[in-house]
Amino acid sequence: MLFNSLSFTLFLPIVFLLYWFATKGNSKAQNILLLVASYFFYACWDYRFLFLLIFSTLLDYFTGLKMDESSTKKIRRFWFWLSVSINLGFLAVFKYYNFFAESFANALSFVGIQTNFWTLQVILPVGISFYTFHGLSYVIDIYHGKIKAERNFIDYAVFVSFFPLLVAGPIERATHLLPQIQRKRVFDFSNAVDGLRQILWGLFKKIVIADSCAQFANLIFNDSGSYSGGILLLGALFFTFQIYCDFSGYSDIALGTARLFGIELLRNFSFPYFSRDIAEFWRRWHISLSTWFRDYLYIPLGGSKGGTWMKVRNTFIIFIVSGFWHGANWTFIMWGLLNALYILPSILFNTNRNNLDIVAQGKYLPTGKELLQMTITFSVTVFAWIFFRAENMRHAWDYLKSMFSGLLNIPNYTTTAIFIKTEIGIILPLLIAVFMIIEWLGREQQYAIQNWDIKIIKPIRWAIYYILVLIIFYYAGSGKEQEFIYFQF
Amino acid sequence: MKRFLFSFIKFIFPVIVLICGIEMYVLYYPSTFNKKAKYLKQHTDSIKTIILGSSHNQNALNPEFLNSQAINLANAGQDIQIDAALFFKNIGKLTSVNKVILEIDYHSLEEKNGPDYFRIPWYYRFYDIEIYPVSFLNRFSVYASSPSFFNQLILDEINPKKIRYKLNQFGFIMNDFPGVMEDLKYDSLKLAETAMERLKDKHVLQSVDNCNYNKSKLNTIIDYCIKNNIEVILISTPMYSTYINHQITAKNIRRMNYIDSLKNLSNIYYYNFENSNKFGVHDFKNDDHLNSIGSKKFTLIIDSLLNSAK
Repeated sequence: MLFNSLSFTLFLPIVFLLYWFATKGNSKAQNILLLVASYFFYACWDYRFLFLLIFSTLLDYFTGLKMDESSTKKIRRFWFWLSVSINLGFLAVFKYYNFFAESFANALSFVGIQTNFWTLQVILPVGISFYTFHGLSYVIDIYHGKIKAERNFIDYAVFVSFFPLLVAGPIERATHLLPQIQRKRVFDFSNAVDGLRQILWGLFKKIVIADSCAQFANLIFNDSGSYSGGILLLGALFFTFQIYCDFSGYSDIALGTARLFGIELLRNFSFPYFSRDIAEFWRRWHISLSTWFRDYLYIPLGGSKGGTWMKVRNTFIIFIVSGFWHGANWTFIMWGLLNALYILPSILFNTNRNNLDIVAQGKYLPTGKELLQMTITFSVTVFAWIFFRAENMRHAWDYLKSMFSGLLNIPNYTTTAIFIKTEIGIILPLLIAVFMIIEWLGREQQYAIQNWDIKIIKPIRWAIYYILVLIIFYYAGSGKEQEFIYFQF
Repeated sequence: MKRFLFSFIKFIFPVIVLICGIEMYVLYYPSTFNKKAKYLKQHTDSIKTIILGSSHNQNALNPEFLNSQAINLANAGQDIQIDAALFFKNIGKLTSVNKVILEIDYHSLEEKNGPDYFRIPWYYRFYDIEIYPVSFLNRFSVYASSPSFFNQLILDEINPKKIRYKLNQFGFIMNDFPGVMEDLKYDSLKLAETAMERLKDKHVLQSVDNCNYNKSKLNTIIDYCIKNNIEVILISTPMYSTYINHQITAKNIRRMNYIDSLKNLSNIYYYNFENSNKFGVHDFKNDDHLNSIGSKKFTLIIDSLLNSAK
């Protein structure tokens, strides 16, 4: 069940009304309802993998309890490693087994040994990377004594499988979400309206911008050998907007939906394309994953405490692991590696915390320096996304080679101009421009249009909402809709 | 909570009204489907001739110029399985039918729509036939079956520069839409020069499986007609030379073999106008569709043949 599908449009109001009316405000009943709804939501993808989700939930629930009850550190460690190994084992089998088997076979064939490794013919269970990380953070926190194990299974199961975040995050923490599930939720009018507004903005990002950009990004990337340098650059730009609007659109819908149920999820995006350096970009992009890696990998590895070399090593580790988390492909590892290289100067010169504030805060326009910084950061990000989008390393390399050699070829600009005129048209660039202006104006909020209820008078605000609804409605029916990119991770 | 629900309903109400409005519009605006379904319903006792087929027959035969009362149930993209479904759904009710005109053009036998064909729900909605299972939503909403198609249609309706369909009472499109013939100013040289590029994907599918399936479907119609003393008229509609030159011999051999196999059956007539020199460049909209001049000419020829076939 996709957030941008008709079935979700029916599912959400039914669960919402049952949640607030049928349960009469009883939080236990609300949690049972949320759990049933979440399992139903997940089963709509593939009911077979629901058992995997339930197993993973039971595993972490019981190992959490066992760790809490452990009388010795040794027993506690046993239960901890049991949970971690099984969780990572599932990820390894479902997500990475084929990658390792094929890479090993390729490596052996390189030295002349031909092998035929057995590969798995299974589809990747949707959301496995996300709910596994939920569970891992929970058991790690218990192991380190940061939290107590949750005794109520329903509450814990809702924490793992709450449907707005189940398939693509944000990756929640027990310390943040569990207390909200345990306490009584009271309906809050302005919070619910805010939730609906965020859903509307998320749908606009996903259906209008991301799916339209996807059409051209797919066209260009899938047949990159036939296009000139300028068009390949356009393809990379379209993918840059696609991935942002796709994933942050999804996150907006998830956060907005959770708000309707009186639950606040972790913020996942904070206008990353307005970052002045890569360190700032990574504080604003997929925040819940970045902070997860910071807390559960970077800091345990020693973080920034052991001098420059330690910092550099740890940074490379988390970026490469982060790339690998996205998928079992060398392209993702390369993408992670590139980002580590980008961030390296700021670590060496200790400038990675230079831009902690919001760019041009309280102003309409950035300074020339800020504009230049943002342009450079955006450009290197576009470059890295080419690896993220490419099918394999050869594809990425060929793409970049054609793109850069083509960009130096002046006659190719005519081809690009014709492509823009005949294939892309004016509407999509215009929509992207309007979208970026709205994002810029709203960059001090949680999401771009959050303060519209204060800034814009009701008749105009509603008129704009109706325009957004109409545009979404039109694009939803255009047959361009695509799955959310992050569902594959 | 009440305040929230009230505000939400107040906001969403115009949206729902708009959605319902669009649905009513696409359901009731005078489309070829709508008009033909209505005509069929109103004239069950008096229709004597049924015309089936794809856009070739749809654009080629105007019931207005036929002597006997006819309904042209041919539609764009319609294949033989839909022809058969339409035929058997309605033949029981059409008590006066004595002739069935079937299209047997170059592409007819080798093409077959799949379950994702976007007009399948339209047939369900307008003719009550379900060739493939129709989803729950599409049973209630024609718009939902192909939003992009209807979005464009609505935009075209709003756009004053766009030419609107003019349908007669039979659901036949009376006015000519710009086609390649008009675009290239009926210049046969230019038409020939550009044909390769234009027709590279046109009716290129070769499928013996589809051919066998379609033949069996046609045979069921023919068997029924023979048993019920209904004349079967198989026609191959006029085509422009560029389209003929583009044809694959193997496909034509399969088609002609099938037509030959029907030769000895009684009450079956085959008229092949594909290469007819009676039709020139000014009779066509594009390589394989007649325009209004061509369709009038062709319908009158078929009418005289139908009368002589008696």
